[in-house]
Amino acid sequence: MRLVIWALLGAVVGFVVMYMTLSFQMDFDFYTIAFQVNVILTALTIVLLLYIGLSILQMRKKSDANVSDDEEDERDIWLYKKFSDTNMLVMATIIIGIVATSISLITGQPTWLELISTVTVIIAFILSISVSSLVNKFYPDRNLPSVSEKDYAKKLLAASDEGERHVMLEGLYRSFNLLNGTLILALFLLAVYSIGTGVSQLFSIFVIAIILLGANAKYFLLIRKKS
Amino acid sequence: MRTRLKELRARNGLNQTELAKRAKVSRQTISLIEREEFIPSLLIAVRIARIFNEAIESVFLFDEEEIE
Repeated sequence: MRLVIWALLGAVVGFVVMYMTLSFQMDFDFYTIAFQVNVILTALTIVLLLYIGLSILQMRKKSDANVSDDEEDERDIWLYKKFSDTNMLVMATIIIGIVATSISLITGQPTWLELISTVTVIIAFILSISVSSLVNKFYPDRNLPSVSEKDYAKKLLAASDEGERHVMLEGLYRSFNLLNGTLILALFLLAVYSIGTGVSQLFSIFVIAIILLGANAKYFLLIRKKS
Repeated sequence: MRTRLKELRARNGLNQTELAKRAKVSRQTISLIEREEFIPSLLIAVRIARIFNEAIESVFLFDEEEIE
């Protein structure tokens, strides 16, 4: 009975939200602020790149420093956290950089802005390789694969021990579920936006749908195979 | 599961990094076991117990309800 009440309540709320969204005028012209948004995102990417570069230098310095037995654990914890934070920032920089480059190319911004946006993405990719290769420097006695090796991610997972895999599994499972939920929400938003503005977002809807289908098929087929 | 890892490390004067090297695991794994957030495999449990010259059941302590 409670389930039926919640379902009815959900249907009513959904109908009201959908009705309000469709009534709302979504005729905002992004082109009027494209230059400003592009400059802000590119500047943010440059700041992040500088910070990542600085973090790489800090980690190299810390890794090379001689420490006493008492400080060994503290150093490893510091390196581990810094490495995780830097990796997260690298991913954020690549994504923001791609968005900035897309804005400049799609909205036809000045050539200098297109160039800077594109170069920042290339630098971000190079830095991502540089950050990943730091693991080999931190743990030279472990048989970890080199970033240039084929199937690097697969080999890195194979070289990880059970505790590290446990942490990765927890993180990946949570982010997989989060991605599933948010991408499905994105499909609804794109559909509502298309209907509201008359600007078709079908291409994006197809791309997201293919990614969702592919990722879920890969996950569930792998689980099924292990029966 | 509870563990006496921290106490035994202090007794033997080992930091997490050193214990990890001897047990052939990462420091993160030792830290997870010590924080009781991860139960190690039998192989790693045996290695750790041997490093401290202790029986497994005196390093890793289970409540009766967990075993039953």
